[in-house]
Amino acid sequence: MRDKTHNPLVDARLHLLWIIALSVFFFLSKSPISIAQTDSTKVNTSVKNLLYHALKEASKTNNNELIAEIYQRLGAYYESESRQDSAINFYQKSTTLFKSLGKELLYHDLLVRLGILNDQVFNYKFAISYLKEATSYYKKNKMYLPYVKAMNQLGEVYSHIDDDVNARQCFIATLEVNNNILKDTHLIIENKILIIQNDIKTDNLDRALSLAMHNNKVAQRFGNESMLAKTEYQLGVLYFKMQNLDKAKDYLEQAEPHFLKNEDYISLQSLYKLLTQSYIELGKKDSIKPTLDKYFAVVDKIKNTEIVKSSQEIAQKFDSEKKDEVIQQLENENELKTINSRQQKTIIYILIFSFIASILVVYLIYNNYINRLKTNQIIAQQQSELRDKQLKQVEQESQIKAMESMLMGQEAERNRIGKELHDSLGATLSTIKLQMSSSPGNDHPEGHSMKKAKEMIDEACEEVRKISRDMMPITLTKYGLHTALEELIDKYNFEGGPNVIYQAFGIIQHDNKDLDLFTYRIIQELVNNCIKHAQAQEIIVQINYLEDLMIITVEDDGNGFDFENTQYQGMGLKNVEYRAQYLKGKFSVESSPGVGTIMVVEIPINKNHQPNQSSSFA
Amino acid sequence: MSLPKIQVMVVDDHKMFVEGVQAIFSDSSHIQVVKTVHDGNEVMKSIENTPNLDIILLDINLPNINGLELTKLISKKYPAIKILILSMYNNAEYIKEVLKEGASGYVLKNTDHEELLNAIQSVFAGNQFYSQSVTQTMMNSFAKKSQRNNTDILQVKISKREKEILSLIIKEHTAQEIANMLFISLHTVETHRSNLMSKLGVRNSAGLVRVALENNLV
Repeated sequence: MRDKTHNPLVDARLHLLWIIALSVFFFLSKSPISIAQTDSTKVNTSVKNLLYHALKEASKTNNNELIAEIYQRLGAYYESESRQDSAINFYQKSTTLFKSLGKELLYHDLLVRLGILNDQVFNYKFAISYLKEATSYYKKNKMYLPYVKAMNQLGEVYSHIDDDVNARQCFIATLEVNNNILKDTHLIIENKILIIQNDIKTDNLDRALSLAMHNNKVAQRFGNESMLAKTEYQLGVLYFKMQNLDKAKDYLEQAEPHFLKNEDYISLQSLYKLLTQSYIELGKKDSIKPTLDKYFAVVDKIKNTEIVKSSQEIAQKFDSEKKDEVIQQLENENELKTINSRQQKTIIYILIFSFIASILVVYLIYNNYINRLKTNQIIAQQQSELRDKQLKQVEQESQIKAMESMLMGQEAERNRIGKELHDSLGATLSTIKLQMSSSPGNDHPEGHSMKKAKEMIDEACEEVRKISRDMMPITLTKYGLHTALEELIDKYNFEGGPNVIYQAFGIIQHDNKDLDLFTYRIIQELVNNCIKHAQAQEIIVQINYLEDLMIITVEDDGNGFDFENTQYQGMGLKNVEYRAQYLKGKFSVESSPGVGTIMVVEIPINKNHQPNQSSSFA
Repeated sequence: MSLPKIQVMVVDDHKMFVEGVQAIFSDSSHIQVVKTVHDGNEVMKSIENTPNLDIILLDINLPNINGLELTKLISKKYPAIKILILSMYNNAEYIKEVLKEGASGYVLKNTDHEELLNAIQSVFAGNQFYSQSVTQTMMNSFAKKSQRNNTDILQVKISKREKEILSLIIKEHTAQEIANMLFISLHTVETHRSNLMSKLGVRNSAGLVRVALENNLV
């Protein structure tokens, strides 16, 4: 029945979790390859799990910004795992949220990621529309660096679909911004490489050549090895295409060591391929074999990397089945520690990492300590409660025995008195009245006092009827509890005084005669009590049957009383308490002056023992 | 008097009362008490042995077979004999039951001469007769019945305190907060809430909020 409340502690934990996830992610994305592969996979999986966990927690709150950020992180995670479909999915969720939150920049940055990913999975149409939206936003807001990147990306997508005209336009637009505003040599060189590629593709070889030469010179001056390699390689490609094989060979040979230094194996692969072809066509037989060997070595290297990567993926999939386990491990910080210890090469990461770990450890230890403290407390409490309970139970059982005979005796006595009153006194009074009404003295001058006497007899009859009904509720035994209660309440209303309302919900039929009888008695006492003491306008009596519990509530809007501080517990309420106890139920009164009183009796229905029926109700 | 007297049998275990009835009709020109019975067991036999019986004045509370049972038996076996119930009980369920089983009237025992005379004559004439307070009891009970059958949520009575709690639930306060605000125990809040849920026929707080808002209960 507990409400899900907004708990500040949950928020705090959530944030902590979030920080850990981010830190681990950061750590991973920057960590050198030297981490043992399996560990990295495990941690990767843990990042995912942490992110999912964070997502679950965040979803409970309505912090859309946090959720969007987690989506984004999940997208980034999948992107890093080359699982583009999932990445796209999460990025899309994230963009929707960012957009609704008005986070324009984040939204458009994500559009670029989406563009790139869609390009990778051949969804060029989407890629173009995402990138277009992003570029126009960046342009409008004069954000040139992202603009350049997005625009180049757009150009590349266009080249992928052989729309070389549009591609060229993109690259030229970028070049303009690069030349006039950013003036970053590196970017300009890269930009020009793209334009040259476009020219080569569209057979504008002369224009390409002059641009490539220029670009190569700039790169030489700039002194960036990778740029230099790229421009040289491009020149090689260009000359090869122009069938100037000597020059092609020269440039390719120049580019080779630079690529090697940068470990750019992909580029090397195409380079060796081209170089081999050049040697073949030039007839340089001596050089063909070593170049081919190098080519295959590079291909092997690339394949190996791919194998490692795919085995990593397989391992990760296997691990994700043990998701919960890994989370547990990570939260126990052992996992992080082992990884930490293997990270000897990069001390700085160890420092960052151990800092995070120590926060986690402190938090966990603290948490653990608090939990244990609480648990101990609870256990101690429960034990003492249990002992008290047992003691009480023994006491109660003997009390119940005593109570049973008392209550049954009371009931039998009431029944006897009720019957007596009804049968003899009632009948006698009726006879007297009948006799008087038929006596000849009816028109006598004494008729007035006669009439008065008859009225008094009527009152006496009514009183007898009432008392006997109270003593011995015949409707109850014959027509059941609810009819009897309705009748009882009707009588109260008929007599004037406060307005009494009776409602019952979810009535459960049962065979326990005592339960009905005592329920009736309890309500009778409680209502009598209200009428006598509360000075209420309205009394509401309710019986609510839950699955295994009956709740009787009697509420009044009277002046209330201070239950603790008054000797209010007269015989009436004491009787209610006895009966409730006998039925293994509970009785409580809550009242405060001026507010009214609510009296609640709760009685278990199924667990109720069937008291022996030896006591007779003659 | 050319008209024959109404032949009456009195069934009551209270001898003094029977004698009283006998006494007031002893010099009546219209009514004659032809037989008195004190035990439920003897009633059917006595009817058989009493020809030309018009009316039976029947008490409900009788030894061995009670008046309710007897009403059923008599009206089945002797549909021509009218039954007038004369009882201490002013109880809607009893009244309804005997009338259903074929009694023609119901008079309370604190009746007087005049009323009893009227009752016998109108029952004899083929009408129904009830004491005024019997009529009252039945009216109350019918009014109650029609109210009870009404399952409309708006007919359910919600107490002032329940309304307060309902409005606090709608404002998304927790049970503990409500308890603190109203100076009552958490347990009592839960009791009120489960009463409300039963009353409005819903299964959780969300349902409470929905029904309360739909019906403008707060």
